[in-house]
Amino acid sequence: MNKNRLTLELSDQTLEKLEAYCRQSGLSEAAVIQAYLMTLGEPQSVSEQDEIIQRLEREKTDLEILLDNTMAHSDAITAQLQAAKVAAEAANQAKSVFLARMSHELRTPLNAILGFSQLLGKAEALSPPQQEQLTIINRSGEHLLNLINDILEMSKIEAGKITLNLETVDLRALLHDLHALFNLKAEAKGLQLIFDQAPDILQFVEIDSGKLRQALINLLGNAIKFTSEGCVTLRVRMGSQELEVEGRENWVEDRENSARGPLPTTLYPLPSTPTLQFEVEDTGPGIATTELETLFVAFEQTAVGRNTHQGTGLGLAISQKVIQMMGGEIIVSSQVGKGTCFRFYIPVRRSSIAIPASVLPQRKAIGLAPGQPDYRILVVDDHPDNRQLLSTLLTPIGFLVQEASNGKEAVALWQSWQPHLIWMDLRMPVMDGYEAVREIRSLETLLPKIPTNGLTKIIALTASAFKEERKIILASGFDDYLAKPFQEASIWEILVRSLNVEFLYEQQNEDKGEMMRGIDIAPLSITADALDEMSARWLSELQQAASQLKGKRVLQLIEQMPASQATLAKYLRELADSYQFDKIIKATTL
Amino acid sequence: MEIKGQEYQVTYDQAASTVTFQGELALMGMGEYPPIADLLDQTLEDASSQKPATLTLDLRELKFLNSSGINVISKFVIKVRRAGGVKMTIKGSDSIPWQAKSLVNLKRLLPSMVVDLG
Repeated sequence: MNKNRLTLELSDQTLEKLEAYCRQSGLSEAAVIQAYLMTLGEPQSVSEQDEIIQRLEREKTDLEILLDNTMAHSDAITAQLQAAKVAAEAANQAKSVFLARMSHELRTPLNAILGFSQLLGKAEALSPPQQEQLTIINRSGEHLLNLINDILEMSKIEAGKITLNLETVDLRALLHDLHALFNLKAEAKGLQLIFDQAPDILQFVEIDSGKLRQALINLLGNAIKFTSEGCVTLRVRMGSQELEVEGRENWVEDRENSARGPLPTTLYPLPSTPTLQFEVEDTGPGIATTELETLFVAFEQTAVGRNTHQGTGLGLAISQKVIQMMGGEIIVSSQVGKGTCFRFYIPVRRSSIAIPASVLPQRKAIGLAPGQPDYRILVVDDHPDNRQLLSTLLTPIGFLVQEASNGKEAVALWQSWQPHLIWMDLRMPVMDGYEAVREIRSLETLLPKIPTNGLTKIIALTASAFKEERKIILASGFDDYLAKPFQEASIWEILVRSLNVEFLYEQQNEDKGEMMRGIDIAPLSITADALDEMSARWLSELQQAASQLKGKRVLQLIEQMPASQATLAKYLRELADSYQFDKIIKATTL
Repeated sequence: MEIKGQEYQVTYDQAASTVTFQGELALMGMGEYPPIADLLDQTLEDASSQKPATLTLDLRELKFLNSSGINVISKFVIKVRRAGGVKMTIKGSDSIPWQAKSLVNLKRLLPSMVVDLG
C-alpha cells in the first residue's frame, strides 16, 4: 500500500452530507475531510475481527439458550397453573359436597325439633306461657332453617348449580298461597296486606314457580318485617318487557334515589314476549341512598336489618339472582320515612296446557273419612326421633304404623306385613333407602299376581336440597319424595296423592280474605253443599246451642242429620266432643 | 434494600450477598421489571468488589415467576458470567414445580453456577 497516497471511496450519500456540513459550518473541505478521517478510527486486525465474531457467536448462543429456557419455563408455569386450576375446581367441588352434607346434617335434627314442636302445639294441656315458649322454639327453628336454606342457596347459585325449571303454574293459586302465607303475619303486626291483581293476568303460565315464589316470599317477607304500620301491597299485572318507571299517583319517584342491579346475564326475552310485572310496596322506614348501592350485594345488610339482628343479608342478593335467571330485572326505589318499592318483571309464556297444579290449602287432617281400608304404613328411618314423629302424626288419625330402622328391616317387614305405603329415609346404616327400594321393586316382579291393594307406594324422605338428587330419587323406584323438614300438610297431601286416602280436615280458622274469592277451599265447599240439605231452622238451632255451649243439645241435633251426611256429622260430633263450639259455628256459618 | 409488590417481595441482604425472592412475581412484560433488574445489577457490582466474590439468589419462597421474570434472571446470569470471578449460587425448592426445571436450565448460561434445590 502506498503510504503517501490513499484513495478513499465515499458513497454519494456521505459525500452529500460532507458537502452540506461544509456549507453550513463554513469550514474548508480539507479540514472537514481530515476530521472525518479521524472518526474512522484505526483499522482492525484479523484477530480482532475474529474476536468480535466469537463474541457475537457467544451472544447468539446465549440468546438461543435464553429463548429455549423461556419456552421451557413457559411450559412449566402453564403446567403449574393448570394443576392449580384442577386443584381449585376439586376444592370447589369438595365445598359443594360439604355444603350438601352439612345441610343434610343440620336439617335432620331440625326436622325433629320443628315436627315435635308443631305436634306439641296441638296439645291442649299446655299453659299459655308454655304455648308461648313453644312458639318461640318453633319460630327459632324456622328461622334457623331459613338461614341454612339461604346460605345453601347462595352457594349453589355461586357454584352455577341452579337451573331454570319451567313448568305450568296456576298463577292465581300461587298468589293465593302467598297471601295465605303472609296474611296472618301481616295481621299480627296490624298491617294491611293488599294483593292487587290486574284482571288480565294469565292464569296458567310457564314459569319457574319455585324461583318466583322465592323472590316474592323474600320481598313480601322483608316488607312485612320492616314495616311497623300502614300496608304492604303486591301489585301484579301484565306488561311489555321493560319496567315502567313513570311515577304512580301516590308514589313520588325519586330517580336519584333508586338503584338498578347489574343487567341480567341471561338473554333478553324476545320483544313479543309478554312479561309479568310485580311491585312490592311498603310504608316502612325506607332505605337511605347510600344503602341502596349495596342493597343487592351478598352479606350486606341495611342499618335497619342489622339492628333487628335478623337474616343473613342474602335475601335480596338471592332474589336478584333468581329474577335474573328467569330473564328479568329488579329495581328498587325508596324514600326514607315513606317506604320502599321493589319492582321486577319476568318474561312469561302462556301455558299450552291448562292443567291446574293441585294447590291444596294447608290443611290439618284430624281423622280418616269412614269406609276406608285399614291402611298399613311403614316408617323407615335410622333416627328414632324422626320415626316417632311420623308415627305420632299418623297413628291418631287411624293408620296402622310400624317402624324399621334400616333398609334391611324394611324389606323384611314389607314381605311379612305388606304395607300400603312406606316412608323411606335415604341415608341409613346397614342398607340405605335406594338399595331397599331396589330390593322391594325386584321382589315385586316375582309376585304371582299384583296384590289387591296395588303395589306398595314408597316415598323417599330426603334432607337433600339438590334438585338433581330428586330426579335420581324418582328414577330409582320411589313413587314420590318428601323433603325434610316437612310441613304436616305435605304428609296428608302425599297420602291423598298416593293412596287416595280421604281425610277429615280441621276447619280453617282464618278467613282467607275477600281478595281471594273464587279459589276453592275444599272443607268449606263440602260443608256448604252438605248444609244446603239441612233446614234453616235446624241450622239456627245448632248455632244457638253451640253459642250457648249446650253440648248435649248440639249432639242431639247432629243425630238428626241424614245418613248421606255421615261425614259431616262425624266431623261435627268430633268438634262437639272436643268442645270446639266456636268451630261448629264457624263451619256452619256461610 | 427491598422491592415490594402486592404479591411479591424482593430483598437484598448486602452483608450476606444474597437476594431473596418471595411470593408470586408476574409483572407485565419487560417494562415493569427494571427496578428488579437494577437491584440485581447493584448486587453484582457489590459482589465483584468483595473477596471472595460470591452472590446468592434465594428463590425458595418464589412460588410463581412468569416468562418476563425468568428472562430478567437469565440475563442477570449472563451478566455474572461476563463479569467473571463471581461465584454464584441459586437456591430453589423442588416442591415448586417450575423451579426444578427452569433453575437447572439456567446452568447452561453459567455452568459454574451452583443450583441447590434442597
